[in-house]
Amino acid sequence: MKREVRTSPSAWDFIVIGLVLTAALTAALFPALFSRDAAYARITLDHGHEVVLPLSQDTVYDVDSNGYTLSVHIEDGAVYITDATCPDRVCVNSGRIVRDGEIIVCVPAMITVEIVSEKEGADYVVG
Amino acid sequence: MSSVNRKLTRRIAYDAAFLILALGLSYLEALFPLGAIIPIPGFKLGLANVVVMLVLWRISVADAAIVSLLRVTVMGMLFGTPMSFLFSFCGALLSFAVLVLLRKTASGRISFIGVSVLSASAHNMGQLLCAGIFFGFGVVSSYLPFLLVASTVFGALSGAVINAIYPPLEKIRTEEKSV
Repeated sequence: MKREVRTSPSAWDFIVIGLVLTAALTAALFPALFSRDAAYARITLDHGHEVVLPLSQDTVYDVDSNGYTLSVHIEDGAVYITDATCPDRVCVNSGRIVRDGEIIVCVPAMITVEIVSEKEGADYVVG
Repeated sequence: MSSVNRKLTRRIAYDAAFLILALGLSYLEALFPLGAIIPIPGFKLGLANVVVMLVLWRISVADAAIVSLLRVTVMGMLFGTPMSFLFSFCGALLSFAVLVLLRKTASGRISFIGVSVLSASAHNMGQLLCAGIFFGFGVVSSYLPFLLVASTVFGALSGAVINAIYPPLEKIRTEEKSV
């Protein structure tokens, strides 16, 4: 029995490539399709305490952790860090996080800033 | 030696050879980590899939399944973590299912380029679905567009490789015929 095999591209190959790229574009343009509403920024500090800030309110929040100071900005529902006194500044270069589950980590200062949809587990809510 | 034994021995030897070939290609990819250039987890060429597709089309579903799943398992044991193994396993499973489906339904209508692109996308979706269960779908979905574009580019490349090498390979007698 000989199986028919195709080794030159047909229209189907291009249709498949087109469909996969369309899916990629859709996922890139409409991230809301795949993630829930992000509502809070959860900042976890070196001593394990958490601070939760609502994303709906633009603010600048300075945190001290493990001897370093970081400035957490909330602006138009996005979170980013400026003015870190830590040596590597990876957190500053992480840029803006917007979506639920996205996270900025500062290893020297032992801080994580994470976008969450619920405020459960927080020690205190600011704002 | 009976003919059944000879067949079995031949099959074990073939599958082992293809497994080594797939592992070698996976190892080659691990030596030159693309992740260092483009920092997306799960971003790789997928050269080993070339071997899996060839075995699937030239030999049988069972042999290709053995090569694919053993490759993922061995790579996981040697270089991975239990977590990365689980993700790869989910990817390999979904990608293999897509390959079997395409071989049954679309062989002759679509070339290896399309087959390979779909299989690579399925691999990445499988990985992401599995990762989503652990990290939340919000986190992993941000990788989806990048991984799908990568699937298209690298899938098309390995598909083109198979398109080129398949005709000469077809002249080689398969094990069933030669026994």
